[in-house]
Amino acid sequence: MSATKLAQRDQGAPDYTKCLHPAMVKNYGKWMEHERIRPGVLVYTAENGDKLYTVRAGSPRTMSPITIRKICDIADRYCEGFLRFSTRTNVEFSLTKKEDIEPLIAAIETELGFPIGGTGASISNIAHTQGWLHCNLPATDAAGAVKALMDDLIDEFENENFPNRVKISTSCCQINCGRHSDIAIIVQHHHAPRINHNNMQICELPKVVAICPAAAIRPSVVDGNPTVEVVAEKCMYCGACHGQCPSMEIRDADTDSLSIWVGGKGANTRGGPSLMKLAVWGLPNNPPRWPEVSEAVRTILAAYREGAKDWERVGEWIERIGWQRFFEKTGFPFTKYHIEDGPNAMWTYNRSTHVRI
Amino acid sequence: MSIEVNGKVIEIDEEGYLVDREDWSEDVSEAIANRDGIDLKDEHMGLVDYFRDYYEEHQVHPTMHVLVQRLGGKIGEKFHEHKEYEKFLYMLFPTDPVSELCKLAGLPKPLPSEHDG
Amino acid sequence: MAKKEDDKGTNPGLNTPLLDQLEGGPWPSFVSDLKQWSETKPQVAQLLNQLEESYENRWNYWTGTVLNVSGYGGGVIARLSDKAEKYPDLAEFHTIRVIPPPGFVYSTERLRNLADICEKHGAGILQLHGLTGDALALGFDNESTFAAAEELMANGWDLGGSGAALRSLQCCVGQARCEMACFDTMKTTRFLTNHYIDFLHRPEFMYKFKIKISGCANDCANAMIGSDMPIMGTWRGPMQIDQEKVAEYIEEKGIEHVIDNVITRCPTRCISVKGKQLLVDDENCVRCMHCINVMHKALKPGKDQGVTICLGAKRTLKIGDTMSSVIVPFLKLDSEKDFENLTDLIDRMWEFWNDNGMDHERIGEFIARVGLGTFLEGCGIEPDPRMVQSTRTSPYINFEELAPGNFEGERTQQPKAWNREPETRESTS
Repeated sequence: MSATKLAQRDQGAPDYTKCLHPAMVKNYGKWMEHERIRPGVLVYTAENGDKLYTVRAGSPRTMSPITIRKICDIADRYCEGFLRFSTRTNVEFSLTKKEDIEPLIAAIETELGFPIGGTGASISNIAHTQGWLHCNLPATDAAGAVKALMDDLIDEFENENFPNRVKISTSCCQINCGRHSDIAIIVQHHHAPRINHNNMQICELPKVVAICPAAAIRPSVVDGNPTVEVVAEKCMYCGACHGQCPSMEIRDADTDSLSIWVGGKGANTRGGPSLMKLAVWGLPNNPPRWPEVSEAVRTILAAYREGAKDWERVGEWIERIGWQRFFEKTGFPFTKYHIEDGPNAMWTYNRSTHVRI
Repeated sequence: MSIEVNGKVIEIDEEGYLVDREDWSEDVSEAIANRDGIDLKDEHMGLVDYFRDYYEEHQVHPTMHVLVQRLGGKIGEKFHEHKEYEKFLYMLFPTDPVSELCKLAGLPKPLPSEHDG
Repeated sequence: MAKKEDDKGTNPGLNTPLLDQLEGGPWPSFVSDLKQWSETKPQVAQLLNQLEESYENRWNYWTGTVLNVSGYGGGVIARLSDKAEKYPDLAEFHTIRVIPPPGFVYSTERLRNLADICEKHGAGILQLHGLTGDALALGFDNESTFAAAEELMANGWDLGGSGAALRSLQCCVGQARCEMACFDTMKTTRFLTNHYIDFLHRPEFMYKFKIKISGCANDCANAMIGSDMPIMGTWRGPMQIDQEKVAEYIEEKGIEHVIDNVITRCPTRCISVKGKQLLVDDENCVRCMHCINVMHKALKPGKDQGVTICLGAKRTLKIGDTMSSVIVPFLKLDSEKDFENLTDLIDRMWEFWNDNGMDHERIGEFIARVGLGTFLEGCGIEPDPRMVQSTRTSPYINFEELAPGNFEGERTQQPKAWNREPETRESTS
């Protein structure tokens, strides 16, 4: 181990006050109202009348220093050397000179090739995970799937043509780091883990047994070595054991498929947060562009745009029209697999005679 | 890779974990510690023994949580006092006490906990 | 390590026909970006080639391992390539998590500094930002991980959380640029990060703990379903109404628009229209922000602002999805004393969870197992009807006050709430 002097530990979060645009420092906590000038461009007005314009651009999230420096160059030129990233990996350029908005947008479009939008009732950038690029558990890619989908949906990013905003996420394993969204794409496995009994010594067996939510894993001995076995009928293919023990391979390139879930929402507006529910299953995991996924997402979006009232998010629209109509409008089949079978299953059944006939 | 302890060649992996856990002895522990630049004292060895006993009993290594609860609890009741004990462990083993102790105790290498984007 | 010297132009070592299909189209392509970058960093070409094989075989070639910098128990996501023989530069290819400035705001000086350090020591690829709320820097081997971490820390950056620890906090833009934010999200994020930095860097919990912070109920930080403890801005008393602007709005949009989009959408039907004025039954307003979103110039959150604190959200493994539920209906978050109240509350919840939770049990799963009533008692929090949607439906209850003493000695008790002296720790912010 080298004996070089170690840098200061435990410094914590950087000082944000040094990372704020001067107009944000001056008017911190004193903003009065905002307005969307056009999709992707907002103006914030402070109590004292100061105005701050913000241009939002979609980024691919994974970026080289070349791109990062181009972003910085643009921020230096127009934004006094400051910028911000949004939760959904958009880049936000803030500036005080209204006349600089158009040159700024031109610079973003020509130098970075980033589209402008993602505000209001549009489709914002897709929240995604690491995928094959750098995760140890994924069954599909993330960044590539996002690129393919956003190529398809770019008009919806650049315009605000929906009843309310639409948030999309993708997740590359069943842990589902992409989380709940209006539309979520996740991978599903279809059989129990294959156990490499020769390599089980790297895993701590009691933990492997304990982590199974279905109590399907039990200790066993193979060739005199301690290992585990999986009761296939109990297994629900969640992959929890695979996260705990790499020798229990849950993924299968031939059979893993994708499914689409709808109606998740984190905002507390109106009915409050909601979980996403299954809409379509059994789509092929089809790199590099996953066309079947894009098509299904577009089908859902078209039905939502046509049927929802202003301000209804996808989940609220479906709740109002009912799942029967959702399947009618989208043309997706409703199957026995759409019916919940977990511990809370009974609460998801129609416990009334309220039926659209 | 290998190290030589008392004239016997002992196989280790690139990071210094024993290939065959049966090879473990206190002298092996010391050789691995030397390799990692750690000067083994009684405090270190006490923890190595604790790890071996715990693994023997539970078939899992103690987590940091277990250490601060069971051992840290001896120096104080409260939660922030546990944290002081954890800092003490980081003084003994600056780079990840749990992994290092597993290595010194001849236990399997700890796996990473699953990761999210 | 064997590195091929490149010719000019595209890297001849690249062979990515599938990934090339992700270069066309209007959305910015990470493939094009990384291909260009591979001319500077040959390991990026290997990364793309391995990714191409993943695309071809629908298979992943990364194995996780553990690596830590001196003094820290997390912050590095260590990966080894299964194809290291073919791609030697990927043999060790780790990610460093870096705590970003709260609200993801940067000066170009800081962002360039981050990119420079990552380029100097590793592959230089940045992801802004991961769903954990960290800035992610990809592509370091063991040695360069240590070197990069030291240089990052020497330059005022710190590593993020990973493993069974407090994770890097995340917040919305808040009062820096939004009139709806009901408290200082950036200050709160920095304060909590620094106050609990020990818990972030040296994992010791049952499992991970995420705190995300949103300035209002719109939840731009994705806290409600994306964190164990969402801290959400709200207010007490009446919301602010500018009746002149209400009248202007009604004249511009028409009364039907207001009825359809505001009045009938209120979850508690607490808003009505009279002539060109809005009347709000403030007692029944649940601060959902909908009407304020629609008529954002005429309506504003009330002036007596604070936070609602929830607890328990996580995604579906292992007991099914849990959503956050209210644990503190209202807390002021202005003065030093307010922040002490907050940290005292967090201390008590963490202590009870960590003393009684099981391995790999998130706090939401723990509450689901022991019951919210037990949890509240264990943390010394008074039950409040605002914590539930309804009272219980199951009649089988252990009424401690009504039960006769157990004739064989002490009755089995629920875990007892214990009284702790609230600890005062000095803020490092």
